[in-house]
Amino acid sequence: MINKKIGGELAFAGSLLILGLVVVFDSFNMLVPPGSGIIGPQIFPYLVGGFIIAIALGLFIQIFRGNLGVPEGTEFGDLVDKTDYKSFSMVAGAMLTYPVLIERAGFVIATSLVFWGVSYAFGATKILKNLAVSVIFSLVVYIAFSKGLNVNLPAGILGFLA
Amino acid sequence: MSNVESLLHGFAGALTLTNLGFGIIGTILGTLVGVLPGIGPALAIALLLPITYTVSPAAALIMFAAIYYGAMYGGSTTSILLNTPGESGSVITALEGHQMAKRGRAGAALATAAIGSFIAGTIATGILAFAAPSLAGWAIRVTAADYFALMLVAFTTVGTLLGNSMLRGMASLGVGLAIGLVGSDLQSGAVRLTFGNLHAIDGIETVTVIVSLFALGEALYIAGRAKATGWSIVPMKGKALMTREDLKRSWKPWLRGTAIGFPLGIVPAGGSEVPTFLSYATEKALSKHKDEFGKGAIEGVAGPEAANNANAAGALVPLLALGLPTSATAAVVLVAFQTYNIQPGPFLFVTNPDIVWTLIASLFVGNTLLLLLNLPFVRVWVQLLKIPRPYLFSGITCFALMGAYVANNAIFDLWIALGVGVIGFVFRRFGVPITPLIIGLILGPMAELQMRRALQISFGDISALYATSISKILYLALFAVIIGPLVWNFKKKLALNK
Repeated sequence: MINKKIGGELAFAGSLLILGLVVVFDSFNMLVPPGSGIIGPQIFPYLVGGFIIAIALGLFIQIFRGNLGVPEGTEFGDLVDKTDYKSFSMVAGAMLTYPVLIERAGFVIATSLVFWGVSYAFGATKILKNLAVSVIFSLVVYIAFSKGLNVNLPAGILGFLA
Repeated sequence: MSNVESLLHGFAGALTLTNLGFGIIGTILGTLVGVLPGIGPALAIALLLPITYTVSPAAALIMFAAIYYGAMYGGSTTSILLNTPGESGSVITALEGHQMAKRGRAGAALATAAIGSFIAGTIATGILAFAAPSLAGWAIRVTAADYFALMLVAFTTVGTLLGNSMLRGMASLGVGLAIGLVGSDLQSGAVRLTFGNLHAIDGIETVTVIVSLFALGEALYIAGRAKATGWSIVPMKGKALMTREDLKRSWKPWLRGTAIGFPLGIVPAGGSEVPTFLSYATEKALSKHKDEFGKGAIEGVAGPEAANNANAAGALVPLLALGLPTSATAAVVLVAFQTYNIQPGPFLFVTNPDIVWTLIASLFVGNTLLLLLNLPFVRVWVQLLKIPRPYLFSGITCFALMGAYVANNAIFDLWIALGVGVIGFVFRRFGVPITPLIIGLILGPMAELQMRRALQISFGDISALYATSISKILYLALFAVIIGPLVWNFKKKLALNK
């Protein structure tokens, strides 16, 4: 039971340790251009990597002593003890479509999809109404930014409309 | 030119018709985004940065000053009407302000917050106009070693004062320092932590990191770790006005809040958490209406709100004079400067006096516009709180992703944004504060530059880092910041064991 509870904490401290090791390793293998002076580009990364490793080790000690992190409170309702993986992966999944679609399908389609997915995960389950809101939001933002502020947003496959 | 003349010159630059127009737009946008629940001033400014890219530097600065104050003002509206202790500076405001709103005194709470913010902002900006140039004049003589020591102090205070675990604050700082290393080293051209990716050579876009940490991280966290309970808005009756009695009880807290907030903004004390709390404690101790505290005492809104604004202006002193951000919001302001190719620091007053004085004048103008525009229209802002929660989060997510993409029109930045969003989720889950990461990311490269400069001059002799008297004092301060809390905890333990 206790082991399960600190599993996440240990994984967090472990990732930090790996990050520190990666920084040190990268610095060790760095190609240093000639003429970099006595104080080259490697010293600071060594310090940063060492610092991260030291903090990670300190965290391990703290965790084994039973000193766990206090999850941050939010202004949007009470915290739960178990991660709601369904909502989490819906939001994460919606976000993941954005880099895939932004240039292929264009801003309006990519944004509508993210908007629709995230609001569905947060409880807007009326699919059609939701879809309408998503598309209107994306169109308004697209027109305001690309026409109003001259920000370059990809039109994608709907380019013929512009 | 004297400071007064320069400032008048600055006003002449800020008060043209076009610039005033941009100021008004900035006030509206800043308040609009700041009012939305879940968006604090740092995220609000970061989200609105792309809009200021397209206008001239002077117009951008005045717009920016208006956004800065507008976002803070919007935040206090949310905490009074919605009880949202999400952003650290507004926690205290929510404490008394929300109780006042529940007792039908929302109008008075909003008024004392707005007028208090205006008075504190104006006084603090006035001191800033005189303190920053003299500090800059002194800072020109500060050596690279001193700078390095100063940054170590900033790292330590920001890392230890925020959140409830020193180690976790330091972990956040470490991750920020590591992200700051990515890309080619400016001095030698060596490539660090890019793993062969060509996009990464230019480094990681700071605004992208800030926006994703706050916006994407929060969306993931709420989806995964919070029960959907929604919120209840307290309906606002009447106008945002104060009675004579309210004014009598407010003016001293305003001035005391300013006196507490400004100096704590200058030293790296990690943002507005400490000063707002100190102001609240002071007002509670001095009040003649102690019984009202916890049930809606107006002093408990007036003081902390003034402290919050004075603190924000105080943070601009080290930012302008030394180029040193001391809070997440100040860090975003620094990034904004850099996008206009302005490098804050002691030489700024020499090389770009026009820009600095226009900015300082803009702060006065922005603050005044805010008071004039916002109090009469507070009902309009309140409508924004009625946006359904799902749409609010989708909107924030979409704007954050768009902001990450348009900075360089690069999909690479979007993958970075998503990765940083996951970091934001993990940090919240394990109680790791976010601000130290941002400070580490921005100050890390600057600290490295100063360290290498200092050691280059001394031919690698490490003693050069603590040779000057300023650096010696700073290292002593650093020592005190690290050892102080440890001794304090130890004493508490001893007292408990007795």
